[in-house]
Amino acid sequence: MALSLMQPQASNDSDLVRETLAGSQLSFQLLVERYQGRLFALARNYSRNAAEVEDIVQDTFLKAFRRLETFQHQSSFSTWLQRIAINTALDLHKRRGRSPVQAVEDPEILSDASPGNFDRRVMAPDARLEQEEIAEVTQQVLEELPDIFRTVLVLREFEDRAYQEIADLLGVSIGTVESRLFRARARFKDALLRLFPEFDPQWNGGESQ
Amino acid sequence: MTKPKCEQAAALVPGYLDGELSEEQAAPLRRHLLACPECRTAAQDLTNLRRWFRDPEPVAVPQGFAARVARAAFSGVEPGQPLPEVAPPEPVAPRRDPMPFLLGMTSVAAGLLFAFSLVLGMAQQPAGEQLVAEPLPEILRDLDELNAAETPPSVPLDARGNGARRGDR
Repeated sequence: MALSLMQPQASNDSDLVRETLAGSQLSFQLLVERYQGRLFALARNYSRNAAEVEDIVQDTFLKAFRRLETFQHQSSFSTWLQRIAINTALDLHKRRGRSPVQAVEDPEILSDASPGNFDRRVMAPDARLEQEEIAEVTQQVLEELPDIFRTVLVLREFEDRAYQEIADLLGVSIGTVESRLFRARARFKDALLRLFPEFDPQWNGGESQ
Repeated sequence: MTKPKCEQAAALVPGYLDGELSEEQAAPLRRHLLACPECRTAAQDLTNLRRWFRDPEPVAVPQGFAARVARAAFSGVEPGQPLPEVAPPEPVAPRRDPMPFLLGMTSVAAGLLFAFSLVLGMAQQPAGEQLVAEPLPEILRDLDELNAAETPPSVPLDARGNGARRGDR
């Protein structure tokens, strides 16, 4: 058990999981060290509060530790862990009454992608906007979205994940990822233009024409 | 291969911009976009939308996070519970650098010395208007008087220059 800890870089996830289950705290610590950066980056897309982000990541690892025996070594430990992180972040939102989770096949959501959404155009962020200002606007708009849409946008746009990886993480088909992403973008554009109409190319400063 | 129609193009554009299409799918779509201003505008709109998702700043993981979480997990802390307060992983015995203390003491000593010299100077030195030069002969006369007062009366010398001593006679 201690032998594998002598060369942590050489230890693969499965080894570390087995050693953790055998009682090695250090092996679990190495797993946390290996994935903490990725999980912090993922979790901060669900909260702008540093303490909340840390809570999400901490709970993710504690949940993973408790369920470690159920981890199937055929699948990727990384995917398994990130799935727990996404669910933990969504649970936090639900508990705090933000953006309640809606069923994937909710007909209201399905009908949401009305053709009208696609006729409107949106501007790219003004070059004069600071990075922080752009991030602030984007986060405000994301807060308006149901979690299933927020999650797929976060994974695709911020995390730059491939469709297949998103499908694995969410346990859905690639076709579902594509359609969810399509609707999520429509929702995002709709909310962006509603909250910040100045980014509509047709915007005339709020005066009626 | 024939150009995809606009509806087909609209369905393919997100995957194209996300880099999810094979070259076999992408090539005819590119040709369609070059030929179709409406579809090109729609693709540009999606590109504009995606620019709102900039790479966020990297997140700083709190120091000692992994050790803290691993310790909590093995201590039986449940998810949602706060982590128990623990001492920092390394013993906190900060080595004190003596240089700031020495510099401080040196500056205090220098200040005190300067203040002391000022006080001494003010106490002992006469003011400018008191600086009056006494005539030298008077000072010498005073010294002579003082010497005369302290010196016992002189004994007459004999011819050889020897002074007579009491009881020699």
